[in-house]
Order: sequence, then C-alpha cells, then structure tokens
Amino acid sequence: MDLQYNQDELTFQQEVRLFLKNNLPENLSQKVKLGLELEKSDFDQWHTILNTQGWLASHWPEKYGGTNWSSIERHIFEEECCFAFAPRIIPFGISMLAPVVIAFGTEQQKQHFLPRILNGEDWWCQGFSEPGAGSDLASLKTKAVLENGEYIVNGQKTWTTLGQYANWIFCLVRTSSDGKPQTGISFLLIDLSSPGIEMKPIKLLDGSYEVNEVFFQDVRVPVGNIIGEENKGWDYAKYLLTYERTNIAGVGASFVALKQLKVLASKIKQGNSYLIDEYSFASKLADIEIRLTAMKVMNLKVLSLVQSGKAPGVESSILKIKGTEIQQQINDLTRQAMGPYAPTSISEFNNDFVLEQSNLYDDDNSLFQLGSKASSKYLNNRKLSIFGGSNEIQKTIIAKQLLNF
Amino acid sequence: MEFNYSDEHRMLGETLNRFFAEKYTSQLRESIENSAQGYNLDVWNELCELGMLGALLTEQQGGFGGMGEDINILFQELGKVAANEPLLSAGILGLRLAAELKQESLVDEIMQGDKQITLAHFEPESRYEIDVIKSQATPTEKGFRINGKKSMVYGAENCDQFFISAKIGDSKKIAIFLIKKIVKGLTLSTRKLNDGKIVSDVLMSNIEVSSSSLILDDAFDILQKLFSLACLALSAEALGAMKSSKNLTVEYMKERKQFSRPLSAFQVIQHRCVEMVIEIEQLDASLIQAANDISFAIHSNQNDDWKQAFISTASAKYLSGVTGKLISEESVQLHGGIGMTWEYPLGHFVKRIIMNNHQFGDSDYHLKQHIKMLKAELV
Repeated sequence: MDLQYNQDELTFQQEVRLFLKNNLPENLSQKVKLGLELEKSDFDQWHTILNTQGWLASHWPEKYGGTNWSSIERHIFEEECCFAFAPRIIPFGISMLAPVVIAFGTEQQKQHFLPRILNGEDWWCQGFSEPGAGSDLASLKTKAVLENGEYIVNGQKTWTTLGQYANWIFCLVRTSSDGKPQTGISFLLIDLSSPGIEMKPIKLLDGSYEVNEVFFQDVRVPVGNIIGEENKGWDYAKYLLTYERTNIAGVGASFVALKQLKVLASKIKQGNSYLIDEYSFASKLADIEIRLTAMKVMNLKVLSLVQSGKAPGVESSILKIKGTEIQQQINDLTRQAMGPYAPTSISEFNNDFVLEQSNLYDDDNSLFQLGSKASSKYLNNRKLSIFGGSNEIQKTIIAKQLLNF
Repeated sequence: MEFNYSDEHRMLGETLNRFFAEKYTSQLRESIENSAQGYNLDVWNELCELGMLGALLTEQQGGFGGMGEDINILFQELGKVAANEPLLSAGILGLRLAAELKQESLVDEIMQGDKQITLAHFEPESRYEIDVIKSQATPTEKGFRINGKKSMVYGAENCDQFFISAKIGDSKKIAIFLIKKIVKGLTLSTRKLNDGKIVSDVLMSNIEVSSSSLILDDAFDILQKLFSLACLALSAEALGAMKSSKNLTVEYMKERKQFSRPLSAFQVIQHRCVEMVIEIEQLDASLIQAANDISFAIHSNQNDDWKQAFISTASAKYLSGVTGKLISEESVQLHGGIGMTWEYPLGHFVKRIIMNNHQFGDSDYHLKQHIKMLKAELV
C-alpha cells in the first residue's frame, strides 16, 4: 500500500504538465477558468491539439491511435488537464461509441469511423433516452424495421446532449418485440443529415441550451450501420456504460472547484471579517473537503482494479453517486457564498456588472466572475444525479449486484 | 502507487481475523462483562504470544510494524469482533509511548507481557484538548511533588505504572513523568463502561517522586504524534465494527420476512443498506489515506509531513464519527426490536462504534481541527 506516485508516474506527470504549459491555448483555459460557455470551435481546437500529440483517445488500443498508458497514467493526465483548466474531452465519440466499435464493430466500421472521430470530421451524440424511457431504458419504442437492405427508423429520442453540434447519432432502437424488452434492441449508427430527422433544442431551467429532442420519421439507414448482431444492442450499451467510467467521479474537477470556492470564501467580506470565518459555512466546506479527499482514494482504488485487469462493476455506481453528490454540494455552497449576488441570471450577466461588483472583493475579478455564475451552475448541475443512470437506479444496481438483494 | 497490501500486512490481517473469529464467542463476551479486568486474560496473553504487540512498534523500536497500515489493519480486526483487549490503552498509549520516549528496558518488560502501562493525560477540564493540563509538578529537594486529577484513564487498574502529564512550576510545557500505581497520595476511582471495559479517574494528591521520574520536560510533539496514532486506531476499530454491523444487517434483511416477503425485497430497505455500504467505503478510503500519511511522516520525520498526517487523521476521525452514527442508528432501526436486545450481537458493535467517538476527539472536535488547518492554508 502506497498512495504516493512512483518515479515513473512523477516523470509522466511532469511530461503532461510541460505539454499543457506549452500547448493549451490561453483563450481556452481562460474560458474554462471563468466558467464561460465553450463553443464547438473551442472543443474542436482542443481535440485537434491533443490528437496531434496522440493523446486524444488515450484509452484506445495503440493500433487505432490510442496510447499504452496505464489507468494511473490516464488518471494523472485527466487530473493535470483539470488543474490547468483545459476543456473537457467530449466523450460521445471518443469514450462512448469508439470502445463499442472497437469491441463489436466490423473491420470496415473501424476503418471508417475511428479516424473520423480522431480528426474531428464526425461529432457524435447519444440517442438512448426517449420521452417514455428514462431510468427504464429498455422500454424504448423507437422502431427500426428492415426493408430491402435498409432500416426504416421511426420514433423520438430526447436529452441528446450537444446534439446541435453533431452530424452522427448512435441509437438504441427496437428491432423486435418478442421476449423480454432487453432482447429486442439493436445498436444503430445514423447520419443526422438523413432525410426525416429533425432536432429541436430544449431550454433548461437555468436558461441554457445543451440538450435536444431528435425526431425520426421514416429515416432510411443502411443495414451496414448496425453494430454487431441485431437484437444484441442492449449488451453493447451495457458495455458502453461500464467502460471507461473511471473518471465518472470527476475528482479533479471537484478539487479545482473546491479550491476556487475556498479562495472565494477567504475574500468575500462580511463587515470586518470574511466568509471563511463564519463557522457554519467553514464547517460545510471542511466536510466537503474531507469527503472529497476520501473519494480521491476510492477513485484510485478503482483505477488500481482496472490496472490489474478487472472491470469495475458496482464500484462505478458508488463513484457515480458520491462524485455527483460532492459536485452538487460544491455548487450549492458556491451559490451560498455569493450571498445576495447569487441570483444573477446567466443571460443578464455582463462584464461591466462584474467589474463594478468585483471592487468589493479584493479586486479579484476572475473569482467574482466565476462566482456570479454560481446559481446558474447550481441549477444546471441538478442534472448530475439524474443522468447516466439516476443515483436511485445506481443504488438498486448495488443492492442487487453487491448485496444480492 | 500501490493499492495492494504487502504479504506481511495481509498475513497480519488474516492471522488476527482467524484468531478472533475462533475466540470471540458469546460466552467469552459474557465472561468479559463479568470480569474485573474488562477483557479476557487468556485472549490477551495469546495475542501477546502471537507477537501482536510487535505490530505496534517500528523495527527501530524493536517491533515489526508500527506504521499506519499496521494500526489500520490490526484495529479493524479488533473492531470486527468488538474485542475488549487493551491494544490501545496498554499498546499504543503504553508500549508505543515508552518506545517513543526511548525507555528501552520498559519496552522489553512490556513486550514480554510481564507488565502493563498506560498514559494518564486528559483531565476533567481538557475535554479533548491536548494542551489543557492543570496537573502541577512542584520541584522539591529530591524530585517533584505532583498534584492533579486525570480522568477516564482506560484500563488504569490493570497497570503497574503510568505515564502522567503535568506542568512543572510556571512552565507552560507539558512534561511526562513515569510513576508507580501504588504510591502514597495516588487513588484510583474505577468504574465499568457500557461495553465491559474498565476506566479510572486518577487523583494525585501530593505525590512525592524522585527526579528520575521526569522522563521528558516538553512532550507536546510526542503526544500530538501519539494521539494521531490513537485517532487512527479508534477510527479503524470503529470501521471494523461498522463492517460487522452492516453485514449483520444485510443478512438479517434477507432472512426476516414481513408481508410475506423478505425485508430485502423492499426498495426503501435496499437503498438504506446501500447507503451504509457507500459510507463505509468512504470511511475505508479516508483511513487508507490517514494510514498512508502517518507512515510517510514516520519515515521522513519532517514537520510538513506530520502536519499532513494530522490533517488526514483528523479527517478520518471526523468521518468515523459521523459515519459511525449513521451505521449504528440504521443497523438498529433496520433490525427492529431484535437489534435492541442484549443477546443479539449487534449491540456490541453499536456500542463500540458510538463510544469510540468519545475518545480523543469526537466528530465536532475534529471538524474544528480541520477548519483551523484549512484556514491556516489560505492565509
């Protein structure tokens, strides 16, 4: 047992730091640091930089353009990216679809799709949830019927994150209604420029647009776009959901957010003292820090499992629950820290307002700028405990798999 | 980075696990409840013969462990059966302190199982603060005259000697003396605790001791480090008891039927059991960190590393307090009436978990320590 990085791991950490220092553009890190919204071109720019270095799809096998990093090294990379305020790597193509294509796709699918994910030609989105199929995903109804070498797809998907940037969607579709709901599902790749597809944005409670509804009316999909076998899609989706979930806890991002919150709390004045001197506030902060530090170790434990060749099962569910709880607690406390300024709406937000108010806060413009988004972020991140299998679904999974209930 | 335990550490855990599983029957516990010592002498002697005291000392101190991991493993096994043997009071607070104070001959005697010794430090007004000590040692011609009162000294009645803390004259420093139990002016008032252990208040009234009784005139650093080991031990013991408590609960949920279904078929029960599992995992991780940081600090002996170790042990002790309350209360609630009985083993775990929170700082105390360190970092 030794939680310190060994010499090789420290050397790797230095290499990553140096790379980020030399290659992460300031326009990107500044946006991330201030919590500004990133556009498609921002993500594309960062993906391209990483791809040039060969680090975009670090978990893929080397022959498809991945690295041979250990799970600890991948963790170090992710952590350093957070600390340097790099944009996140958009997971839909790289971390969700690609592992499925690599494991179950045909050689032709691999040759065609994988390079296009790496070079940014394709932006993928996920078509799993439906208006009537959320936590009970297997009850999905979007139908695909095979006719003359083409699937005819009819139905509706929803909560499609960043679908507005995408040109392809991977979908779970119903190809059979025999037997259990899980056994009649197939995994289909659909070109979003196909006739009969309509994408509509959904405005969220904080005013942001990040998810969409996708409607399919008699959309024709070549039979070659199915992954693996017909009616085996549920297995592939399960593989997708358990694969590459070691970063599900978001430990690095939470450490950064907590650090920012601590500094904020030590600068916000309250009469002659500072917010951090308020015992009830400080105790909440300390509680979160203690739990986050424990979660870091839980996360590393799972990484070492992966390192030794085991696939994490319920451990991922535990990390998902704990990770999202802590992120939400940090958001909640940041909102609280902003006091009367917290309710500022994201759409009303402008730099003049920030500059004016920041004088109250030891002239630290960037912190106040970040803090002024706190209530929007708080509202937006209520999603964390809902998506990716709600935290209640995760608990039921743990009860069945770990406790044999 | 390495997450697996070494062979030696694995063996330490397995040996203790087998030993306790065999020994700790309900008859044994009943006999302990009725014993004068508050633990079982045979079990203690066998533990000493197995060399478990050596696990509490570093190699330099004449042991084979003494690191954070050894303490974490050993005390978790102790907690899994809610054992009463005095590995904290006589082990860490006696033997380990003797070793830290470089009392080699004393260490040898204790290692042979010939005598027990412990530390009498906290006082009625200290609550959990290390430096709130009012006991006074006044220099005399031959040595010192000591006056003061020490409270809640675990296992004092079983000891031959005590380390006691006191301030000399006007000095603000905490000095450590080694005194005999049977000496004029020293009285023990002893009582039983609700888990069968015994504890004493030690009254020192004009005790005359020789100048050689003064072991160290400024012991704050040693005590602070020793208490971080004690916090790790108590948290680990509580965690062991939490694991047993959770396991009993999970098994009972599968057996007990109501409304023609096992309780485990109800989702509200499932989720509450899972919440116990998750919180225990979190505490386990926190203890791994604390043990790691203590080992690191022992190796390097740098102030910054000890500071980190204090933060980590305060975190672990805080979490063990809040997690322990959750696990204890949920275990009893989910069991229902049966969990309230003396006969059913759950109560022993619950008592150990809750009572450990009352030694060396409860969760509120350690959260406050954490806040202090957090603010110091920001300045």
